[in-house]
Amino acid sequence: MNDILDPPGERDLPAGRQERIRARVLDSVQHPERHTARRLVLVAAVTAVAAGTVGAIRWNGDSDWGVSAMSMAMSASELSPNLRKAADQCLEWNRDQADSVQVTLDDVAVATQREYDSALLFLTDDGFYSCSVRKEPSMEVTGGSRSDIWSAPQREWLPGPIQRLGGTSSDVDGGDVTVIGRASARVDKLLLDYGDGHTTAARLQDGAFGLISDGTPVRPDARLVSYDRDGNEIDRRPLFNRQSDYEHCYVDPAGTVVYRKDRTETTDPDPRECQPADRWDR
Amino acid sequence: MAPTDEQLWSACTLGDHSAFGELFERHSRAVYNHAFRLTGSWSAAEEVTQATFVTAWRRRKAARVVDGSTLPWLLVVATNTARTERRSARRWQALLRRVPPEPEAVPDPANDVPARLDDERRMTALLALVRQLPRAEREAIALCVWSGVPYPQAATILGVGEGAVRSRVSRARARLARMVAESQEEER
Repeated sequence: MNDILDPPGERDLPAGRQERIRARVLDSVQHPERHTARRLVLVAAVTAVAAGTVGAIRWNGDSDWGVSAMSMAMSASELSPNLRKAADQCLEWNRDQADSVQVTLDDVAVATQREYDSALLFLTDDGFYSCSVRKEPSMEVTGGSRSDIWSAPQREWLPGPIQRLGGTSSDVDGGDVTVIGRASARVDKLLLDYGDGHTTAARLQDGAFGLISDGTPVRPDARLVSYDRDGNEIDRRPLFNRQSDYEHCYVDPAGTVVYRKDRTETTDPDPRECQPADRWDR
Repeated sequence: MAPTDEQLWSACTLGDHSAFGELFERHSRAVYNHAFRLTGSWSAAEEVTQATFVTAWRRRKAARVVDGSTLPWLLVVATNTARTERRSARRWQALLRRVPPEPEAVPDPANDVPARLDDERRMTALLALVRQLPRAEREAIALCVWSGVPYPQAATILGVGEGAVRSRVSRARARLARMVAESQEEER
């Protein structure tokens, strides 16, 4: 093989780290009862970010759901049988997460399924609840959820034309992906650019969008590209952004900062450095 | 004489934690390096290593010892873990958060850091190419070429024929060679 295809040489775990990982692993396997005391284990509510919560969930049930290659629904009435099971699972987890926005089946705005992975977005007047569910044959159901109560401006305004609120990916930063979120009325078309020019269009309805990759591997440098009704590109942003929550900060027409670039920032940025937020209606 | 992997894993299935600790000592370095080659990040490789062994314990009754070694199976568990690391990182973090607080890790020796950063740069560039391959091919490359699992063992653990594994590696090599050639051509 060409040299460029040879990986770097092997290394030891850093000093002390191997013992620490070993201790953590053994502690985890020796005391499973600490985290399996309930059938539904809410192992998180790990991070409170602004008003939001992020959770991860494990369930010890073992019923197989079967697989359909991919499907998408933009309301509860469109849910396939498998997506309905995923929705029911999300609702069950949601009921156990007292600090999440409480949702019902009627609040389903988008639901996507790609093989074993489903992603659902529930929108209410109070906020959103996004949930991912993975069910492989003979494996436990796993998934994660994220919820945020709208602060007054954030319900009405988006960080630009779209706001990604959930999804799944088969690889760390690529592979097969699904993306769900909110979109402003001026977005007429939303494309996933896989990073190599290949694209897939999102489905847009009632201020929400859903997108499922078509099997072509999505690259780490993939982009979400929005167009207005005249076909003009109005937004282009990375699908995977690990540096910050958003590419920019965003302000409403009055100049009030609605979204900081990173929610961990403690002070508002200079509004003049921010991009305009997009109004959102549903 | 040291117990074999088979003996240790047999003890694990009966709930023997010390046997599992022994297997960790034996294979964690290989899992760690395999995880690095899948993620391109030494810190992500630590998370994947940790998650791999927790998963391995939970699935210990389904483990497969191939030619006397549990390593091929552990590497496949690590591959699956790395693939889903993005989705499950929070979950593992939460599962492991029960461990009592501990002092921050001792900083790495300074002379190791630049070399590790260089590793990450090289691996990221390599993964940019490899990620353009179909998943089965890139995982075959990682398992057989980078981690040195023999084809027959990989075939057993992946549940496919040895010919299929050889063919995946061969196709992947050919594609990668083409990609490198094209990229060098573009640079000229």
